[in-house]
Amino acid sequence: MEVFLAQLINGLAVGSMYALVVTGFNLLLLVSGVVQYAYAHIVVIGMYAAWVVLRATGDNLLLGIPAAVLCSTVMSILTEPLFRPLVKKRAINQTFVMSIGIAMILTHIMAKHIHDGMPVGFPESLSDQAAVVQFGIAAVSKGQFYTFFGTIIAVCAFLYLLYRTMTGRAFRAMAQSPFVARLLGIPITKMGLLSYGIAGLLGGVTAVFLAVTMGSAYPALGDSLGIKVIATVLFAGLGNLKGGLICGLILGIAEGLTVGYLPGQWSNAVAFGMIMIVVMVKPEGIFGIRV
Amino acid sequence: MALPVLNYFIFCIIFILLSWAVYLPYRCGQLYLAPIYCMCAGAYFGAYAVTAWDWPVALAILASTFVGALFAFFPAIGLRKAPGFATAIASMALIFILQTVIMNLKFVGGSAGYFGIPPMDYPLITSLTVLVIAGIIIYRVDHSRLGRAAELLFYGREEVGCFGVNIAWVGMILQVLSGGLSGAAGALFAFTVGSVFPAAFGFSFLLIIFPIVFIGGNFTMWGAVFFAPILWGIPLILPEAIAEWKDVIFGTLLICILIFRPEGVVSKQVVRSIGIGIQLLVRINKEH
Amino acid sequence: MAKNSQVLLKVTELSVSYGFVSALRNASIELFEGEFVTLIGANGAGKSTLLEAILGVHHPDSGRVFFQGEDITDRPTDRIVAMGIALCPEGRGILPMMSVLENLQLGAFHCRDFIQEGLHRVSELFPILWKRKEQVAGTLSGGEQQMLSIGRALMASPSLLMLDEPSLGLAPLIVNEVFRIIGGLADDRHTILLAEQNVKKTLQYAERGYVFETGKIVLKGSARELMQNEAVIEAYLGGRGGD
Repeated sequence: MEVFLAQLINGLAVGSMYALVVTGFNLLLLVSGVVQYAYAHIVVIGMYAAWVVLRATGDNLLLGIPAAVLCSTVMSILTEPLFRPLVKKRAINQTFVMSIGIAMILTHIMAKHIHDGMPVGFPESLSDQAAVVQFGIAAVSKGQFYTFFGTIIAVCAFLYLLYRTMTGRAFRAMAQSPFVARLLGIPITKMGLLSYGIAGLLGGVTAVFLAVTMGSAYPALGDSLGIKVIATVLFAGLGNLKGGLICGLILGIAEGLTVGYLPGQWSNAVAFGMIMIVVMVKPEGIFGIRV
Repeated sequence: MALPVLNYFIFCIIFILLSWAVYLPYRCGQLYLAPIYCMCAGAYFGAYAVTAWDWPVALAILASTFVGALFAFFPAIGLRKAPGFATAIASMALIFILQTVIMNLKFVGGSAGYFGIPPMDYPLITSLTVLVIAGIIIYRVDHSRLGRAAELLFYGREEVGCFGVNIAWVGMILQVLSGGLSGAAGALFAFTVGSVFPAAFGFSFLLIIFPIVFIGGNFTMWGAVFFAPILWGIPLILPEAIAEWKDVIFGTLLICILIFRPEGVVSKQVVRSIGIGIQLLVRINKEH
Repeated sequence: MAKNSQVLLKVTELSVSYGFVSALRNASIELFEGEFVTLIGANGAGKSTLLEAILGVHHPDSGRVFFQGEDITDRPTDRIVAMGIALCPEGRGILPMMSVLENLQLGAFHCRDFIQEGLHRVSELFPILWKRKEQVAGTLSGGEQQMLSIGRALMASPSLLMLDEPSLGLAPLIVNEVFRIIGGLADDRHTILLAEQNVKKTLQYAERGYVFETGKIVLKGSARELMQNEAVIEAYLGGRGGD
């Protein structure tokens, strides 16, 4: 029972991060029609940025954390002009291929030019394994606590932006009908840039929490995370924000539980098997496409 | 022929086959990533058939083609009508599922892989034969009603039904053909490398195929033919210092091509111009 | 309309093509403040293209657009809308998955300080719509959607209100209602440019009109002149001996 609880808590923390990443991903998909496979890589590069700054400043968290957020935000905005010609044509397939190109470059940078491609570790002060609550031998660490509630706050802030502000309304208008959005006088390019910025911001926040939960980063993490994001989005339905949130959580919990209970590498197969069935039976995803 | 050069040519052929396998469904607007999955199936089947059942190599390659097609057929039941991008993710899932399944199958070596696959007797001739047969099939498909139907689908998936195009049929055939090509490629791979292991047939394979298809030319089969040797070969002959940057160069090329020339270098215009040029040359020669 | 009113909109020799297809050729129109002018013609005659080109949606091959004396030909759409031009596009152009209220709020994207005033005005003009302000816009009837489209355009207090085929797909009774409202807006000194296939209806309310045929303006004049013009009667008003 305690193992179950420990796995569940871990799963919730991880799941909340998946939910956050998927949300940022969906934002780009909805507003600009861009499938940014390299979004996960931008998150991981944010982690690396934090590591570089932490190493340079002697583990100064006040500098390291903003470094991650800033790096991801800037990187995301930098990719906007690359996607712009494809966005104009609404060529989703090509945005995916382009994002693979970007991912190749980012992975290369991490694998060859930072720390010789070896995993980078984050200081204890960040991951803070000190326990907050105990369930017998299972415990919720401060890090997991921060992660779970931090991501909840981030998601809530984002949803507030999307549903209660004019900017958010403009985003949703662009998602539903780019033509009508244009007629309403919404500055498409500026809003597009803003969406990349906000997605990058969310990514940076995720990077911080990932650093907290995982304690380390490595170059292949980009691909690993990217594939999970894409798989979750497919499962939930392309562009479906609410679906993405829920399925991100489910994925995290499922991972946490299967790692504990299923032998070998079956957890991956289970996840992908579920996805395959969904695709065959309901290609729009469980909650339906919203693009 | 020196072994490295031989391997280079055979790998070019493998990459061309795989690029064609991605090219075919892309003709009707589906980004189809299952070639890697079918290749894995074909490779393992061919390897096992020759080592455990003592099949002759040629038969194994033929069988692998069918195995690849079969592995493509079942998912195609659901995927043939899927909108362009959903196909990409779903077929990507196939890659990982098969990888994971094989990693847990002890009788083909599990994660460690399957070794001791004998090489082909006449590697170059065998591979070239496979390539030429595949090329002819693709050429015929491209210039048939199916090819034209696919092109219509590419430009307007929803409107096309009124032209009498059966979306399900087109999608199915293209995906199954793609599977067959990949199965054959997988068998060639197995017999050339001598061993197969799950990690080889992963997502990273796409990082070579995508540049070939999208930089080379995604609206004609000839793009892959020219660019597979170029993109595969150039990093091999460049000095180490530059070759190290291969990923960055490929990534940058991919991004630039998509922005400036999305149809790829070898576009239909280019093929047509070359075709006309060749006809002119032949005519000039005849007159002498 | 008093002749010493200001020229609000002036389009000179505007030509627009989509690729190789010419949609609009050498179109010239003029609009004075407070006028109600209509563009009439069949489907595909170029009316929508003109309205969209004014808004900067299409880049013209040649010709110029002047608004309030300024050359707005190459300005981006969002700047033009901010200057005070609003378009109710063909098919209403409402956002189906957002509520009525949100659609209205988006109408005030460029003048957020005056949202409350705008909403108040809409609630007075379209009380039935206002009652349904939380309803998802996609579930409204065609007529209600048209009201929403007009209400949304009014949220920004536009200097120029353009409408593209507001009667499209609506039952005759609803069309009457829609035109009654548009007529009321005209009486309220709004400047209106309306493109319509329902020539009979629009000539009852408009002051002047331009007749479009395959991308060119073939006729222009006051509404009365057009209603009595033989060619117009023949082509659009049911011919001699019709109603």
